[in-house]
Amino acid sequence: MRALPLLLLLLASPAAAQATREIAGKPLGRYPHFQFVTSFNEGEPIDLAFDPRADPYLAKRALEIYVVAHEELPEFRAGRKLESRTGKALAVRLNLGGVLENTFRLDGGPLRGGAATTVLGRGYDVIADVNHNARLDAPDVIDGSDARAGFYVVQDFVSFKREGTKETGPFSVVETLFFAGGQFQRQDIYYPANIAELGELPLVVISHGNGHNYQWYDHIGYHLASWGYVVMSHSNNTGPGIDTASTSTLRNTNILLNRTVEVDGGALVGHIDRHHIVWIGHSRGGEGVVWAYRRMLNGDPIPTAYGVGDIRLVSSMAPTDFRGSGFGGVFGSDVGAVPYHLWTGGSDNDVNGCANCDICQTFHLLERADGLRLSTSLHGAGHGDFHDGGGSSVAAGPCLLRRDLTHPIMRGYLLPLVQFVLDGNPACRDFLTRQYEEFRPLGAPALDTPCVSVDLMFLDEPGERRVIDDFQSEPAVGRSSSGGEVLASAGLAPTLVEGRLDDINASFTESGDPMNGMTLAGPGDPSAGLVLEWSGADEFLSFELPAGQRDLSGFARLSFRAAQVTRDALTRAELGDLDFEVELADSDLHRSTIRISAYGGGIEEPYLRGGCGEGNGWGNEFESVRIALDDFRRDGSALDLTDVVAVSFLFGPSHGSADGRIGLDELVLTRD
Amino acid sequence: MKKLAVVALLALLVVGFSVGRGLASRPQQTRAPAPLSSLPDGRVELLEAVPFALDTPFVHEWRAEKPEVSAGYLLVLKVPPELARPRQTYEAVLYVGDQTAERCNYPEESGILVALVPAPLVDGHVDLDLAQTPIWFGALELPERVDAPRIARERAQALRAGIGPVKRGARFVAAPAAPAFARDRGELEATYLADLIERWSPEESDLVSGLRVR
Repeated sequence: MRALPLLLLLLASPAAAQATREIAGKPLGRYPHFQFVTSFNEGEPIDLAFDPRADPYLAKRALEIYVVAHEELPEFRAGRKLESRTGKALAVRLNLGGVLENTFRLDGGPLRGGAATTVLGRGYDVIADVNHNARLDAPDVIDGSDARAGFYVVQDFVSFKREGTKETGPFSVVETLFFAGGQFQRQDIYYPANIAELGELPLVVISHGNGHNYQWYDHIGYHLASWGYVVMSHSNNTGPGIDTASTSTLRNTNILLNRTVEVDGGALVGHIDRHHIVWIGHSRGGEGVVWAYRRMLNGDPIPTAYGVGDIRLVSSMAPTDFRGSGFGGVFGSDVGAVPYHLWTGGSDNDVNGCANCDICQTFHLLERADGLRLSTSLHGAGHGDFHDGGGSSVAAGPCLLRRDLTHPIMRGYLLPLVQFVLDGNPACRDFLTRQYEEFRPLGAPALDTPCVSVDLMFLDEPGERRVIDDFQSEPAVGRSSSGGEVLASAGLAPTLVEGRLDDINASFTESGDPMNGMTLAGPGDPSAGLVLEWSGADEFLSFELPAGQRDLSGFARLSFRAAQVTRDALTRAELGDLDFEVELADSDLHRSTIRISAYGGGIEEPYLRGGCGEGNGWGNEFESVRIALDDFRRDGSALDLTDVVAVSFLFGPSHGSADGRIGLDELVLTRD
Repeated sequence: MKKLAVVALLALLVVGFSVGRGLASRPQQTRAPAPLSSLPDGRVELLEAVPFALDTPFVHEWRAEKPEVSAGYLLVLKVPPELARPRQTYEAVLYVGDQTAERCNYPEESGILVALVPAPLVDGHVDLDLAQTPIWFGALELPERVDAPRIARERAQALRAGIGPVKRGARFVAAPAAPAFARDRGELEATYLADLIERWSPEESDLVSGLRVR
């Protein structure tokens, strides 16, 4: 606030609201020509686009573009004269065209991410001053709202900030060892050195794997503590099994919360937020944290200082699956509805993911979760690369990442993950949802770094999505889960197989098993999907939207996940990102088609690891593709999003890759 | 629906179409038992045995019954490295007579395994005659699932495989018959156990320093 109290300014504010539009983003080389995004890295080009063909109000307008800090938006709403954070307002004149003809480069150089703050990203709003009065008033158009900034600029949160430390955030970190006196009750604790000034901080608990050591997680401890978290890594009783490991997690969390006064002279007293706890586990400990959460759901008596609702996120690094889906009425490793995240290393030579080992298939745990689910898969990462204890990476396969490359990727994902789930920080979502090829944190390995390949899944919780087809609740190939017809072209139809995503035999050898390479479902798991293939000809697969489900205007994105099928001749025929198109059609025959590579990614090729049978190529690695529904309306598209009758996939030489065999799953509409 | 039936609309997309095949039906896999490999394996040499006794018992979590323990042996064993190397998946369970043993270190290559085996304290001595006791690796399993009947089966199988009392290794170090006393498990770990691991498996310095945190 400058001169007037905010209240007075609000009283004097122009009454009418401005029109809200997405404006900031990046241009694309093909339709939809522009991608509106939420987050930019510092120094990344920022473009602004307008689509007068879809928005006649803007046609032939001359605009003055201001970029304002989001926290100052109320002042501008209250009548403060507009000032752009980029310097002079950008003057643009729109024509009658679409975004292709009306995209403008902003000088985003002066826009910084957060500084001296623990919050990732700084919010900015774009204001298009339509009536040239340098005030935000009714005729103007704005990218941003009171609830959320138009876009965020995100600082480097991956690189080490101070020489000789492992700190990436604004705070220096204190590391202290604590022995609580009992069996497997040793803890390595990291916290900000200035914690006395910081109030209560979320607690991140790390539970190591078998043969690992609780002092091997500096890369997480220093990283997160420097951003304002208390991190505790504890000795973990993994040798006997998963139940004892989960006991270690439950007990050590309880000990720290109940005996805080004993740690480092009481430095943490009053500074641990027991209602915001994250559990991260590695290998047997990765399954252990899942089982610990299930034990809490079942009323386990160990936790006295925290409740099940206080565990806000569970994350597993290369977890085992000893307990499976449960048996004889006993629960398996099923985390329930708490947000769940999974790390998988393609080179893992212990929890290796091979078809012959059900307890080695990490994705089972992701599939059993019922809430928000996220997954990060790294080609070339070994089992030991997820800790920093030195020694073997426990890795097999080509092009190994080792810890030097694995850890910056981990740092680049972990902090957005935690801030997104715990705080709902909107600046973090893009790091979790956009493909690594297209967007990744500053300081994380660049795309041209040899061997770096990252696949992400982001699967919304049930309340945030509407299922078109999950290939599970309706087993017939000809009908989707939402009740609509599923139609396929003559060449594609005979190849369709719907079933459990579980390789039926003990190897990844190309064998005629339609689910070869699938490791999402284990024994007793229902997780199912669709497999299909095409070769040299154009094909389609269409999902009818039933009457009553055709108004998509309340949804933001169309989302699905797909994976190339390992070792298949059609996959080997074109090693590389696989490409195809997605098309929406309304009842007036208006259609709009987007190629998935338009955004800069595709469906990643399998990691070319040998073993687990004949040939090269490891398990089928699903990744999410999320397309903004408004993108289908771009540049004069007449598609009516309130009356969409079909979602179609178009394959073949006219639509992308000439050949391919893929798994397809989780075709849904999402709200954000 | 405004003007056209959906099916007709979709048919316009391409020349020909047909409905896909039905659900691929196949039985769900059943959980395969842990592979046995070449187990049981009795290639174990005893290098040192330190009897211990505690004032405060702890729970032996390496078998299903989870008994309380206040005495036993810390054993240093020379074993095939592959059997000693830590794994996240199933490991071969280490048996000492009628008891499961706890693996206390995690040698990647050396095959020097330090283990803790519970035994009763009788008249001030740990009541386990190591000269007459077989030590072997049994089937792959999670020790927390192993109970007394399973131990009996494993022992019978070891006997059938010709596994007899453990042999002393060439580097055997004699230990005093009187047990080492510690207040509790924590003190045992920080002193006698950490010392043994440091002496026999010096590359595991992180483990040793971690055990010594008090």
